[in-house]
Amino acid sequence: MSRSIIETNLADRETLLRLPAGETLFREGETPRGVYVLHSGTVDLLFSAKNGSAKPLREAQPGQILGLSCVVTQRPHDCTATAAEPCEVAFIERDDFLRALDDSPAVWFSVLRVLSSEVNAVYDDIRTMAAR
Amino acid sequence: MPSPYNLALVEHCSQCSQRQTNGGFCNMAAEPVEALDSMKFTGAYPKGALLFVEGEQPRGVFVLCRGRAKLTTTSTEGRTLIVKIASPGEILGVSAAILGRPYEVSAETLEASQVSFIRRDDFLHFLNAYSEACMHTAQQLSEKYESAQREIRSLGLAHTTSEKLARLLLSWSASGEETPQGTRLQVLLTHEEIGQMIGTTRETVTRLLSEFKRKKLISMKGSSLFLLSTGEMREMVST
Repeated sequence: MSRSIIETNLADRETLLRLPAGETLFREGETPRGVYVLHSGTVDLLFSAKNGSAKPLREAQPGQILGLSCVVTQRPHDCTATAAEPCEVAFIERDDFLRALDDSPAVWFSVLRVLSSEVNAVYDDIRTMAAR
Repeated sequence: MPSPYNLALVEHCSQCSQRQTNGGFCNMAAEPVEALDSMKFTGAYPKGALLFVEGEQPRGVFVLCRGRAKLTTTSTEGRTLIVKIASPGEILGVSAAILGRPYEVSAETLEASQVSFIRRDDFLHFLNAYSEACMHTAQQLSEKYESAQREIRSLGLAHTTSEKLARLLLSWSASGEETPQGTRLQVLLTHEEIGQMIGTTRETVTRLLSEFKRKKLISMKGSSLFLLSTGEMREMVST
């Protein structure tokens, strides 16, 4: 629900991209240009080990916003995002995105909710991974 | 002047000199800082104080003004894991307060600390009133997300325990002090707690630290640990 508020508020600022399977949205280490809202399809998030091999981090599902934390902190992308199947993705440039947030506390709050859920999801992963 | 735990307590955020330098949550413009001042309760806590515990309903958020705190969670098989060491300027318990769900981690002070508490309702109103507060909260959440992500990487990659320990010491060396004897690290954690950071036992940590000492990678003096050869230690870390 909270994501739909974000999606409606960003609709007029977005550029729609259609990605074939295997196409990369952004790479680990790149400076984030904006955020990506996944409308349909799944995207694999991968990170690279030093020996060059890519390790799966997680799978992004429709409704998810990619690159959110990197856009907020202005740090490079911490993973590579590649379409696992044909995807529809909305791209919103960083400045446009931040402007949309400042226009509406409700959108800001939804973004904080998304970030909070992401933090909780990683803590969940830590709890299960440590048990292996 | 005497004060609890000899902490130099600062009552008002507007008069806090660390606010501008810690680059944390509270480094905001005058107006939101004034609002923050009017709704927070500040207090001194001894080492080992629990601010909140995993599974507890969120009462509010905690700004760490001075001192350090460990954030821990319990693995599905019951082991305690340290997910982060929080430093001054960090705000704790945020995701729980925003989502209105139980705290995901426990927060315990590692040394005498000054902590400011903000009630959940007050905090939510504060976010609604100031977009700068939202931005700072988003940065804090992102930072916690990224540090948890790093923890996953180190748990997920097939590291040996000595590699994990080397990685941890190297990550601390960024805030260490260069001395003629090597990079000096102030270690606030017990061997047990170091074990909880890298997913091993106290015994293994003690054994590995002696091994590092024997290999002349580190030396120890009281609560200080000196990194003698960061180059060699980097070679132990594969990713």
